[in-house]
Amino acid sequence: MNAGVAVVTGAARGLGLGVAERLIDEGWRVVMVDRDVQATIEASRLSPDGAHAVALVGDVTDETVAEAAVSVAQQRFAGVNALVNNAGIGGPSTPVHLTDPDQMRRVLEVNLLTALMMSRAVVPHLIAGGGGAIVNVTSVLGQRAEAGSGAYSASKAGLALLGQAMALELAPHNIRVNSVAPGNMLTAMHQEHVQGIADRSGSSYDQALAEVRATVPLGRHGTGDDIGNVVAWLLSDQASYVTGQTVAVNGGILLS
Amino acid sequence: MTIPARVLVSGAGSGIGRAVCSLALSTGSSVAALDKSTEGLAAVRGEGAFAIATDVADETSVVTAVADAIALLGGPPDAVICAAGIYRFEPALGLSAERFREMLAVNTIGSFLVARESVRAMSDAGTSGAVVLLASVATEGGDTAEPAAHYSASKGAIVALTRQLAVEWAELGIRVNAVSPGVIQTPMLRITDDPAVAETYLRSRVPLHRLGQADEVARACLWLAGPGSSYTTGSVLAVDGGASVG
Repeated sequence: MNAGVAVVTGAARGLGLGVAERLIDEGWRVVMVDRDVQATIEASRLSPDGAHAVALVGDVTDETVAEAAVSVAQQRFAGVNALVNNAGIGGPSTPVHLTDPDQMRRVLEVNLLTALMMSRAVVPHLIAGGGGAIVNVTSVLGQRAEAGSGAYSASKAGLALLGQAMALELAPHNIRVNSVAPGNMLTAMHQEHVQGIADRSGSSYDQALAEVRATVPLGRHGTGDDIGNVVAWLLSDQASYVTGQTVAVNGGILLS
Repeated sequence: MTIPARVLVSGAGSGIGRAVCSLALSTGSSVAALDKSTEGLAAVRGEGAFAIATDVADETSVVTAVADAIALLGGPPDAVICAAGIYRFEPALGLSAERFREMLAVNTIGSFLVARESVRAMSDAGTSGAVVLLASVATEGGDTAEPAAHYSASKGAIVALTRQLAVEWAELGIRVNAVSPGVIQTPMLRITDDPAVAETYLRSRVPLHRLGQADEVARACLWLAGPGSSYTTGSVLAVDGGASVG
C-alpha cells in the first residue's frame, strides 16, 4: 500500500497541514478534515482541481463528519487506505484539582474520543480493502507530564494506548497502527503555550521561545515538515513490519 | 528527498547489516562495509561496496577500518549503521564472565567504537549526519526458551548508549537513534530451527503473525539515518511486527 487515499483530521493548519502537504507530495490523495472554515478554504488551494486533495469543513466530534469523510474518499478517490488522527486542542493549564470537569471532558472528547469515532467509520473500509495503516498524533506530554498539563497529558497518553490496542486488534487484518509524538513544534498551539510562559514569568515572547529552544538537544523547534515526513514513512510500505510503536519527533527533548 | 551519500555499515557481511548495505547501494549511496567474515566481505564487494576487514571487538582494528572507510568514501560518512553483533544463548547459571565480556565487546563496545570513530571524523571535518545502533526485542522481556542474559544486557546497554550519545552529539548536528528488531529472518535467528516452535511463537507473540525480513529492518535503519527523521534523536524504533506491544 503505497500512496493510496488518506483521511487526515485537523488538516488545515499546523502539523495536520504539514502532514497533508507531505502526503500529497508523495502521491497520496488526501481527504482533509478541519473545523476551521477559513483555514479549510485556504487549504483547499493545495489541490485547486481536487485531483489530489479535497478539503472538508467539519468538527470531528460530530460522528457524522467521520462518515462524511469516508463518503468523500469513496466518491472522489474510490476508497480509503489510511487514517491520520491529528485533530487536537490544548488543555487548561490549571492544576488538576482546580480543573473544571467540563474542560477536561472537552479535551478528552477532541483529542481521544474522535480517534475512536474516525476509526469506527474508516476501519471497516480498511479491512474490506485488505489492509491499511493508521497514525495517531500524540504528544511528548503524553509520554511525560508537566505541572498544568494534566488534562492534555491524559488525553494524549490515552490516545497512545488506544493505538496500541488497535495495533493488536487490527494486525490480523494487515492494518498497522502507530503513533507520532511531537515535542515543541512551531504551531499556533505552541505559540499560545509560549505566550502563557512569557505572561507568567514577565518575560517577552521571544525570550520565552528562546528558553524553550534551549531545552531541545537539537537546538530548534520542530515543524509540520518534520511530522509530515514521519507520518508519510509510517503509512508507507517502508514501515511494513512496524506496528504498535510511537516515533518521538522532539529533537531529543525527553533526554535533556 | 535526498539520501545519505556516504554510508558506513558494520556487520555488513550478513543479516541486517548486509540488507542495509544492499539497500543503500541500490539507492545510489557509496557504502563502506565492515565485517569480520571473508565470505561476507566478498559478497558485499561483489555488490559494489568498499569491503573492509574489521574485528569490532578490537579497538585498533576499528580505528584503522573507519580511517580506511573515510579514505575510500572520500570523506566522513553521513550515515553510520552499527549492525555488527553476535547472538548466543546459555542459562545464566552456567554463564562465565569471559563469555559475558565477549558479548559486550562485540555488541556494545564494538558498536560504540564504530560510532565514536565515525563521529570523531565527522566532527573534525565539520560535517553532520546520523548514527543508527541496533538494539533488540530481547531488551523488552525475558525468555526461557533461549536464555541469553549476556545478549539482553548487551542490547539493553545499546538503548542507554543511544540516549546518551544523542544528547552529547546533538550540538554537532548528529542524530543518534536505535532500531530494535524482533524475530527477523537472518542467519542469527535460532527460533526457526524447529518450525513448529517458530509457528507457535509467531502466532502467539507476533501480532503481524510472520517473521520480519532483514530488508524491513534495513529500511527503518536508513530512514532513521536520513532526512525523513530529521527531528528524531535518542529514540528506539521497534521493527518487530508489534511483538513489543503484544
